[in-house]
Amino acid sequence: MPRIVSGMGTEAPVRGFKDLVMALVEELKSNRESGQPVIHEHHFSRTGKMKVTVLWDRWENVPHEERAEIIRKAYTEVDGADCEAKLALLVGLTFPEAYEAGMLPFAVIPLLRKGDTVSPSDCIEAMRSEGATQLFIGGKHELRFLTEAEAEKASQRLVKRLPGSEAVWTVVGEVGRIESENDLG
Amino acid sequence: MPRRLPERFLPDSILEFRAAAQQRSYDAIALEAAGRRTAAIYLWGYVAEMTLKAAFFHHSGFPETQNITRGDLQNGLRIYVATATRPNLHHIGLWAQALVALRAATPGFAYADPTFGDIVIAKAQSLYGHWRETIRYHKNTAYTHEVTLVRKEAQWLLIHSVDL
Repeated sequence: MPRIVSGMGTEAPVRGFKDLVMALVEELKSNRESGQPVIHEHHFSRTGKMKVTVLWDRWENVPHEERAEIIRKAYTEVDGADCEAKLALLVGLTFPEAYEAGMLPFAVIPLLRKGDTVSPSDCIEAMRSEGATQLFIGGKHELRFLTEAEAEKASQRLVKRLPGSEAVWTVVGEVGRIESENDLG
Repeated sequence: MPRRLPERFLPDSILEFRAAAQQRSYDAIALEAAGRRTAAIYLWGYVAEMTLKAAFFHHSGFPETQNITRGDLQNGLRIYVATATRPNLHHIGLWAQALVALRAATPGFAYADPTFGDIVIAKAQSLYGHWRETIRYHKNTAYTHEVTLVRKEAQWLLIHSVDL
């Protein structure tokens, strides 16, 4: 009979998601200023380990266990096999999942008024190029960020993409969620 | 006269979280067997949450019976997870991230096999996709496949609680 060996923690196959590995590899190599996926790296100074969070709408139909494996494969392809030991924490989230986790409290929104020289469809196109998600309930385009500084930079890029839109883009932030004592347990 | 139930509660601690996780898992199994799927999911979520919190504070150096305060919970997530707003203390995915980050940031504590951390986070995030602490306020009935998935992920975390 065949000897079939498997075990927890052995390399999992990236079934049918090779295109995502390739796309992530391209993103890591190109290091674009904006757009999806958004890659956050955090280095733990005392151990040399690294946390990588990849925000990407293309995760939507990808099981969570596959997401980490896709990130691991892309990093080892770009940075070499030696980097694998450093990759301690790999998180792949869609934008709504990251928002739910409190990771995207700042948004850039278009506030159009009569007389503006840009149209709503121009704004949507610019937001799409900047990496807006459409996965929130209702399907509206949303451009969200972890920090106010990131949102401000995106707003400046949007003005460059869409001349005449200086007064249109607004950065909004959310206040923290208030928890009741009953929600502690 | 015997003391009432709330008066018999012990303070939140690693020991209490672990014991309560075990108790709530028995309750969740009974509820699922009785066809109360939403209620079963509600309890499975807390099984996962308490299991992850117990592991996090164990590796933070808390003695088993030390009181875990609201401030300890808030600091735990603030230090180890990049959230800009006040984090939701019930977010199971965030507790998994905080646990794996704590171990990665502490010399000698990282998982021997880093893909184990990936699995912990994946199980927690997958479960949280079907669970909120606010389930109790809603009348919806969970699908069978939802309770199956949530049970599977919570039981995995419970079974591996000593390895977390």
